[in-house]
Amino acid sequence: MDETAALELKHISKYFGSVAANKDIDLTLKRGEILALLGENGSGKTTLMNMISGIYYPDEGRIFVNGEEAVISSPQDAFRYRIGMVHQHFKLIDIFTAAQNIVLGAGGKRGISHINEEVKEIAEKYGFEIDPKKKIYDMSVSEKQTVEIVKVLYRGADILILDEPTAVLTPQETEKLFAVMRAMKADGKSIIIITHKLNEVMAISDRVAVLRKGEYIGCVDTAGTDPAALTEMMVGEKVTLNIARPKPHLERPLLEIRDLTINNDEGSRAIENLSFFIRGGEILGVAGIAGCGQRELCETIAGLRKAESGGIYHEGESILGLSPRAITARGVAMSFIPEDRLGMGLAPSMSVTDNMMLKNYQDHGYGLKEEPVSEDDPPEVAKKKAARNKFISFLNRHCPFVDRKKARAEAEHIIEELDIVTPSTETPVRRLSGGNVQKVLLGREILTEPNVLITAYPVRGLDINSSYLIYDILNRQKEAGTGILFIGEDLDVMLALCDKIMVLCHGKMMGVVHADKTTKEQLGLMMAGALDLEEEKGKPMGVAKDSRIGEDQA
Amino acid sequence: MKNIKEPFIHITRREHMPLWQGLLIRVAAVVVALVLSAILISAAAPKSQGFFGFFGSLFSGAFGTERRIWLLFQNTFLLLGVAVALVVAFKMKFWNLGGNGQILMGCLASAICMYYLGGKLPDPVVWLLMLVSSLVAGGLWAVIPAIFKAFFNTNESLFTLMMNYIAMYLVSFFISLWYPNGTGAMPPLTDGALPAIGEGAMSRAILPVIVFAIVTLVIYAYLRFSKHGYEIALIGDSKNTARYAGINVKKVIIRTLILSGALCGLVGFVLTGSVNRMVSTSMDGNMGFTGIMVAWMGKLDPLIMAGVSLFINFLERGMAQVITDFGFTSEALSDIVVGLIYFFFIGCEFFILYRVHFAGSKNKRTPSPEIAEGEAPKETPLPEEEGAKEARS
Amino acid sequence: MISFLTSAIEFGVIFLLGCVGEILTEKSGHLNLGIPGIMCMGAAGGCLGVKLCYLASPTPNAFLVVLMGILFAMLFAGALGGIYGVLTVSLRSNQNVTGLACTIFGVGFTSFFLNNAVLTEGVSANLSQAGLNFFNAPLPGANSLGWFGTIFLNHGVLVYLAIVIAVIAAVTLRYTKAGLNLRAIGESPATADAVGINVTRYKYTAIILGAAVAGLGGLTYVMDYMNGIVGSTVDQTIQGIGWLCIALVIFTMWRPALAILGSILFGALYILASYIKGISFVQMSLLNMIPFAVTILVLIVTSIIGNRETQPPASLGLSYFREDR
Repeated sequence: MDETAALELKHISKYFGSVAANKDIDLTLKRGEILALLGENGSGKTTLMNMISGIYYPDEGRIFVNGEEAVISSPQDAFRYRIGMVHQHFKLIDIFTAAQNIVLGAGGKRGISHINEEVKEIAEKYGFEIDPKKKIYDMSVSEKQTVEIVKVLYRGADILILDEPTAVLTPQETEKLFAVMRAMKADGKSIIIITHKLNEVMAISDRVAVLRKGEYIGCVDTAGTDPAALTEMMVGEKVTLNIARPKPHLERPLLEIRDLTINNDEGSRAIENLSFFIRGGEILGVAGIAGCGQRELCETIAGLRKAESGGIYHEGESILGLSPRAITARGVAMSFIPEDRLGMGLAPSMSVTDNMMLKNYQDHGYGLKEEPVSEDDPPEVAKKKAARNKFISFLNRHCPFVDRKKARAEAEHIIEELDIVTPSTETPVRRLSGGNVQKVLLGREILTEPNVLITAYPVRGLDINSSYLIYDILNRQKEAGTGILFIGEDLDVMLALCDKIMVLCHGKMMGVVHADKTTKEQLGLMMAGALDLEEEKGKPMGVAKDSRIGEDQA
Repeated sequence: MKNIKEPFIHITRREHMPLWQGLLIRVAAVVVALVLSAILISAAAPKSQGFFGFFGSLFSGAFGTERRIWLLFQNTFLLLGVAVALVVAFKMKFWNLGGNGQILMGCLASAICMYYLGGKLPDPVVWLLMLVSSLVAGGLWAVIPAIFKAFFNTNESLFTLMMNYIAMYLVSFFISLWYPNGTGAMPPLTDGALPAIGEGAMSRAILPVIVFAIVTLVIYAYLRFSKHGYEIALIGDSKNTARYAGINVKKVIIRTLILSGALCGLVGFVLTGSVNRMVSTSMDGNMGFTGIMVAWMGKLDPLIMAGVSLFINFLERGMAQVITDFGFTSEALSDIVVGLIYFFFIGCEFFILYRVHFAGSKNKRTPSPEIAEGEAPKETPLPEEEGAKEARS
Repeated sequence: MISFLTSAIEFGVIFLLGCVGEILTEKSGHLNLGIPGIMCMGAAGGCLGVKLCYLASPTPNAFLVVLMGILFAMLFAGALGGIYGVLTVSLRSNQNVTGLACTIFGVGFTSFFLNNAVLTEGVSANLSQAGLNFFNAPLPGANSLGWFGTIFLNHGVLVYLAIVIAVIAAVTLRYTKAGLNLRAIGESPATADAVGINVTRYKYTAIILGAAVAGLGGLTYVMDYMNGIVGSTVDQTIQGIGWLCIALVIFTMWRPALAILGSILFGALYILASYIKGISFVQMSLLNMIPFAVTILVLIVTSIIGNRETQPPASLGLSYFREDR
């Protein structure tokens, strides 16, 4: 009976605390097919796959492998059923070699001294390029991914699960990966690929299963569907991105970056010779695949990272080398949502209130009020009042205590304003869900009334409604004259929201385009480094004609 | 039908536990440990006074006479002082295991002042010099590892640990310098000793009680309400975030450890100046380590720690009586019982943080609407892990 | 000079055993600050083992005495290691706090146990007889091969056992799959778990085995170095040695093979004071500081250089919970 499915899930549910990550999911993987698992961020794709690979244990439901019920309570069990998963965040030991990582935990037939040859054999069989003796910390992302896939094959997996494998790859590397996947399929392997990129789904998969908010929506043949239908399944209703884009009223450049070069933590170039500028009242998008220097750029502007060379000017004055606090004081605010959400910008164990005062606690005083000096006051009274006020402001400035009352009021304000769901202002932020965490972060930054706002991935992992709320907030800021640097992932969103889009590729500027005069294809080409507008036009695009640099600078 | 083998034990992280429940688990753990000790000791003792006799001796040892009560309070507040000193660093996730050395340095600095200046300068001047030099010496002993931690990320637990022994040999250096023909012990000094307040056991106990009650309250307020306290907590939670908030992390680490060490030095000052009036290599009484246990068991809250410190000293004083009453000869028995309590207390923490499901007993969960927004709330990696990541880079 | 070197080696192996035990433990990602207590337990257990032999027969077989000493030392130390393991692996407690509790308990237990259960009448004589004649019995040729024999062959069996253990540990960690798996766990338990390594079992094995090896260090101090003379401050001395063992782990950058040389150096530093003629107590205190000061120096230097291959296991000190991601 060859018609039995390679893998079958029935009524699988998984809860995290009180939240259902997966609710009553059914899924079937046929032998020798590539099944795409489609869903937005946070729809429960990874959780579901983690249950198949033994990382999580389902709270309810049953799993069948080749028609027989299987209990997968550990990764060992998964391998016993010949299931292997390539995780999105690679599970590799940095200080080991490729070969050591590949044989790790596997029952290998030969001694440890033969591992290099064994690995080479497998690599040759499937056409991978791999140096078994190279240490992981010396490898590029795609090399690491290769190691991960070879690792799973080495252990004889028949069912492969790939969790967003293309997120970190260039188009060329993606093509290579797809070729390998097709080869594996021809070899009789069954593959599940998790993704939220529709074009890839259409290109590689035989069937598509869709999850939405932890629930199973349906499964269709790829040949009989199209991106629009899939999108509808994924988001629930047809969404035409209808993000408002108020017309920018142009002002002179607020923030100017000139010939900036930055190194990353490993000491290699993260940003090279980058020049661009932001005007007040506009949103400048930054597009690029993950790891093309966005993070380092943000950190440098906020004063958290050293620049190798070049300059950063705010209203014509250099802010390079100023302390983060001084930069904040000038009105430059940053909200950066890192991959782990809480790594930067928020203190996870602290309450919403305590996170509110992160940037202004230094200015907290006793709350003593200065007495207004009116013009009617006789000179000696005015003098007395002035002296008193001076003393009060001195006291307030040197107050050793934080003002939690004030911070709590601020917290209550943004909770109401941004519709944040939290049991109280005293709840540690790590107990909030992702979307609410992001709102807390963005809300606090806006509270400081910045004139330059740097925001990276502000809608990462948010549902549609929350995302629109964030776009609204950004647009309101823009209309108030704030210059916004928007580092995003979703090109559709950037095309709709931003006024201009700057594209980075491996730390180099590929060009700045007007959002209403460009296409996704053009941006895609630039992101992959295939199109360099700067080179084409032969002039630097990131220098404003009406630059303020030079007014008071040399 | 195949018989399905489910994993026997399945552990999940608890989201929240009511305060009383957590308290109950901890109290239960301590009670179990005490009962176990009582059974073992009353069974094995040469002159057993029975199971209940154990508790009788325990209480009589701690509270039996006025002198014992004063002694109990003296030790409680000295230990509390050390624990509070360490908490300042622990809040920042800085593992100051060097309490012993910092106390000894405080003792030594005071002793040096008493030895060289006692009787030559007016007493109040000597007292002041003792106080200042003790604070400086304790602070110095903590700030050296802190500087290296701040600039080079040198492992602070091992650094502070090593500093303990250097302090110990420094003390023995001075003792053998002063009393070359002695047995390595130092007689109590009279010149420069702090004045006695009241009589008997109270005269020596009153100073530590007052000083460290005040210190505890001040540090409680410092950690909870001050800007410095906020910065310390922030660094403890996430160094990256602290940097992002514009905090000079290096400066705060150094500043905080000066405070931590200076407070340990203050304990040394009281020990040498008032309680013992001399210095010895074991004068720290291992409070640097016991203080860590107190701080940790007290959830890093100075007020709870006061209770824990009282309890630990109650056990130690009480066990001393048990040892005599039950006919033991080794005082180390007290360490065993205290160690047992630690084990149970540490172990019970697991049941507060995690929920254990056994196969067969299905725990049905009802999703509460408290936090629900499309996305599973990922427990953030604990800040400890972040520290480890930093250590790697 | 020759007797200095011999003693340095003899004392060094105490460090070596403690250090190798701690390396095994740390390679599994657990910083065990209980090593001083665990080494004490080894001493206590070893003394009990020897005593039992003498209880059975007034003239016991030498081989049996040594074997019982080793067995009981490992048993006692392993037991405390097991408690540490249960608390930190299964119950996921803070490793620093648990380790300190183990030290407090282990040192206290040893002091109490030796005084009350082991050192009953006549046992002291038995112990020192066993220490001198059995544990310190030199290899054949020790006296006939001149200085070479004196330095390298004139030791008790524990010295050679220690070096063998260190070599086995080095080879296992570097060249076997078990070693590879253990190192992987210390670097990233989540990764090891994902490839199907039984993280819990490896951690327990490493911790208990490490404790047992460290316990032999305590035994070596009492029976080999002290010739079976159990002083009243033996627990305090071993505690000090234990902290140095933890320092030595850093000094040797988690390599058991390097630990052989490092421990002899530490041994030499530790006993240096008593080999310089006419030294005063004052100078002795300063000399005693040297091993601790040197360790601090190494700590500082390695942290400043910051080479990737000389760093501690990446997950050292963290507890692992599979669903915690």
